[in-house]
Amino acid sequence: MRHLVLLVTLLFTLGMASAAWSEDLIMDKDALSSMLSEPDLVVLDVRTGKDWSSSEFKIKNAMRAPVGEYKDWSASLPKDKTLVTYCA
Amino acid sequence: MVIMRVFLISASIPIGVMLSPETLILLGNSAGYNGIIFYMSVAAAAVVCFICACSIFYPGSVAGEENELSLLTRGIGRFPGASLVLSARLAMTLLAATSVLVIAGYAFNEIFLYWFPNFGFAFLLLGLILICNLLRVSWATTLQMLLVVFTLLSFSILLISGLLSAPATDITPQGGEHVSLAAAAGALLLFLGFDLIINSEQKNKLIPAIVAISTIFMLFVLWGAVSRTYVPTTSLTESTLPHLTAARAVMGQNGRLLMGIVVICGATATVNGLFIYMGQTVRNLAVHELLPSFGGDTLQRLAGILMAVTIGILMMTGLAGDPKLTVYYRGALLLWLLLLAVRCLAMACQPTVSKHFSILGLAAGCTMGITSIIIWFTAEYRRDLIVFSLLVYAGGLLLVMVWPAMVKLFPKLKKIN
Repeated sequence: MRHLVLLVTLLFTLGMASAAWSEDLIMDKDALSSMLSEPDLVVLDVRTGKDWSSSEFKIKNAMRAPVGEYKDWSASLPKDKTLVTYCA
Repeated sequence: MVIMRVFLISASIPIGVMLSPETLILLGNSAGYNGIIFYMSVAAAAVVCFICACSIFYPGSVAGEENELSLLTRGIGRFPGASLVLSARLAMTLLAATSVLVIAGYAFNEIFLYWFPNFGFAFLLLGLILICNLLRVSWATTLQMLLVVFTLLSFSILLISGLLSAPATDITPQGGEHVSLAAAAGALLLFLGFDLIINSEQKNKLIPAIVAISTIFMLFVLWGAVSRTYVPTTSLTESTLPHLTAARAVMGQNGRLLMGIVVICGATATVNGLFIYMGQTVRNLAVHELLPSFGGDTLQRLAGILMAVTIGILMMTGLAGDPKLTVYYRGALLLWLLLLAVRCLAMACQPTVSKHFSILGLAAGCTMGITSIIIWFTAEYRRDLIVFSLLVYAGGLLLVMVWPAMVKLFPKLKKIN
C-alpha cells in the first residue's frame, strides 16, 4: 500500500512539474494571433498527410515542418527567433 | 413504390461512393490543372464508364446475369479472379474509410463544432455505420439513401447558386493550366463506384448504373465550371480542399456550411456504401467456397466487424497523418480500375457474347487497363504505388487460397460451408 501511495505521489509530482514546465512553452491562439506580424516569429506547421491536407486552417506564411523530417528542417531554423510549432 | 425504393437503393450506393470527399478533391484539382481539357476528359471518362456498365450489366449479355466472380473465374481463373475482386474492394474499403472519415472529422470540427474532437467524430461515424450494417442491411441501405439525398440537395443548392450569380471579384487572369495525358486519364477515377450495384429485386443493374454515371457527370461538369468561374485555376490546382475554397467563393459562410454537409454526408455514404458492397462480396466468395459461409449473415457481420476494427486501428496508429496514405489510396483506386478492365475483357472473351458486345467490352476494358498502367508508371511515387498494389494483390491471393487449402486438409470443415 505504501508503495502505491509513493507511486501515486511521484506521478502526481511529475505531472505537476511537467504542467508547470509546459506553461511557459504553450501559447494560446490569441497570443499567437497578436504576434503573427512580428518579424522575429517563425511558425512551424508540423502536421503531415491528411492531418494537414484536410484542415482548412493553415496559418499564412507558416513553414511546413513534418515531424518525421525533423533532422532535415531543424538545422536550418534561426536560433535567435521565436519558434512556434502547431499541430491542429 | 417498392420498385422505386429498390431502384433508389441500387443507385444510392454508387452515387454515394462517387461523391466521396476524395473525389471532390481530385475533381477540384483536375478542374484547375487540366484547364479546358478538363471538360473533355470528364466527358470521355463518362462515356468509357457507360460502355463498361453496358458490357457488365446489360440484361441480355452473359455478364448481366451472373456475378462478377463467376465471370472472372471463367475469364482469368478462380484464384486470380477472386483475389483481384477481394484485394481491390477490401483495400478500397479500408483505405477510403480511413481517409474520408478523417476528412469528415476535420470538416465537422472546423465548420460546425470547434470544440468537438475531429477523431472523435470520425469514430462516431464509423460506429454508426458499423451498427447499421450489423443490425439490418435494410437500415444500412436506408441510411445510404438519406445520406445521398442530403449530399445531393446541399450540392445542388451550391451549384444553382454558383450558376445563377456572378463572382464578387474578377478572378482573371487564369493560369497554371496543363495538357497532360496522365492527368486527363485520371478523370476515369472520378467515376469509380458506378459498378457497386447490389443484388436486389432490381434485376436490371444497368439502369441504376447509368443513372449514377449521368447524375455524377452532370454534377461534376457543372461544379468544375462553377469552381473555375469563382476560383483562380492555380488556387484550385494547389488547394488541398478545392471544393471548400469554391463553396466559400460562391456562397461565403453559408457555402462552407453546405459543403460541410456534402463532405460529412458524402464521406459517410462512401464508407457505408463500401461496407454494404463488401458484405455482398464476401457472401459471393463464400458461395464460391473461397471463404467459410457460417450460415445466415454471420460472415457479413464478421467481415463488417473486422473491417471496422482495422479502420479504427489504422486511424489510431496515425495512418491519416502519414503522407503515404495518398499513395496507398491511389493504389487501391488503380486496382479497382484494373478489376473493371478485367471484367470487361473477360466478358468480351466469352464465346456466347454477341460480336457487338464483345467489341464494346474490349474497347472499355482496354481503355481502363491502359489508363491504370499509364497512371501506375507515370506517377511521381510509382515505385511505392506498384509495390503496394502488388503486395495487396498477393495478400488477396493468399486470403482466398487459405480456406480452400484448409478444407482440403481437413474435409470436416466443409460442413461450415
